[in-house]
Amino acid sequence: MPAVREAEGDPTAWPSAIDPLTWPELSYRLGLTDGLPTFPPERSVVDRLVAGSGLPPEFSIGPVPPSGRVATIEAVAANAAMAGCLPEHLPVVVAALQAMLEPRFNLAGVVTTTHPCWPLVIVSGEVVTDLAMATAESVFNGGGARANAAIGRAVRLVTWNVGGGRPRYPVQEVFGHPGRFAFCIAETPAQPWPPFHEARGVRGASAVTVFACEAPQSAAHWGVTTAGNPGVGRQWLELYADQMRARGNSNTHTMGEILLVITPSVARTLAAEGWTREAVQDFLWQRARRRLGEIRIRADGRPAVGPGDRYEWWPPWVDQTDPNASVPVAWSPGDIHVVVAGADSIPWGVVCPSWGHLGGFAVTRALDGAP
Amino acid sequence: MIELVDPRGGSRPAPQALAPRPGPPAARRIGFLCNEPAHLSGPHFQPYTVALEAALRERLGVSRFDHEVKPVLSRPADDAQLDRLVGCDGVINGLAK
Repeated sequence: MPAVREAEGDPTAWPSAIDPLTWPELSYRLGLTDGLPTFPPERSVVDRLVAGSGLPPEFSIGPVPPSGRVATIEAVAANAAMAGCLPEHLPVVVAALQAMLEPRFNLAGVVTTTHPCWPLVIVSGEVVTDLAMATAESVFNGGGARANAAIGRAVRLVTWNVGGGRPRYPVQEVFGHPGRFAFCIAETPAQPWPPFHEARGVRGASAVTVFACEAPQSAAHWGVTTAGNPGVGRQWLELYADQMRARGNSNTHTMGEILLVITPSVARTLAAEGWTREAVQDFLWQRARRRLGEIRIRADGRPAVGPGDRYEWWPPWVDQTDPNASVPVAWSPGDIHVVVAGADSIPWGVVCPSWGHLGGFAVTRALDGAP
Repeated sequence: MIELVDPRGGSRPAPQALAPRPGPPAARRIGFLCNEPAHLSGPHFQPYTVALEAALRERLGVSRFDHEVKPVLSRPADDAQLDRLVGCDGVINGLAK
């Protein structure tokens, strides 16, 4: 019996059936993986994953850029099978993909841009516990939890296999992003503030947010005295603001949205000092700024503040003729997303700049809503 | 042996019908839609349009040219810009660094 039943003479044809031992090589030969090994999308596994989604197999999530091929639930489930998903993971995968396909997210741009950003899937609410998702140590690389890794991987494989987002043609990403393999975190339920999705105005027990951002940049608490310091929380926020306004990130030049992830101990300290999440956002929006003259610079080193130097994407209240104008890294306090996750040990924060004004804006979908 | 499900998804959305070809050359109106202002992406689209205008006037008798510039290259043109280009017989869209 042949190992693979294929159309005779066509090594790229889709086989009707295979010996499972041949799947690894077949997956590489057909270009169905970005380099990491996958599980075979076997019919019975895919059918169970479709059932887990609660949707019919022919239900269309929509055309996935850049190819425009349609992502049916069955196709999503096939990629989820390759990623190692369980049926209970499918609602999260589907919600994440639906959020990514909303026009304001600009998935086509996010996938193909030169910028090292990628959709981060942020899961919040009761589902985090239900799916045994990792929220603590190593949260940005899965935390050892199947759900985190499989959900992030499934999203990636859909963009690869359905969307056709291949390096160079058409993906122009200059350096790449490690999250392109899998990029999913879960917010810890053990935190002093309401869940992240509630802060974004989405009611419900659980939700998924997608936000295209860079890999996390460490903002360690160097030089800040913790012991006997009643204002230590404010000093930590000043440190995060400094990280957020780096000259090399797109937020500094174009605003948009930006993400700060802080550990549970930081959140507790801030809350004890009277900080709400909204107050943190307001403070960071005031502090994470640069002088216009440091952002736009002419060849001779002088600030670029002439009529021909205007950035059309900045709001009109930025006086672009004034080199001392203070330019924030986000459009508004609400565009600074604050999530609590990471180990509950050393107080720490990480900043994830975004693609600026170009897209990848946060989109949140409740998990108990209609498809 | 195991049966596999293709993870590459279904067909592309059905292509839309092509726009009808324009009428007599003397009635033609051509629009230029530049994807980003010159001071951001480079000054070369405008000279390119000058060369194209000359060629279109000479070869096809185009009598009117409209010019629009998107403020941001990564987002689609807004409805107001598209409305201003609706009457064109054709639109040339691009970016030249």
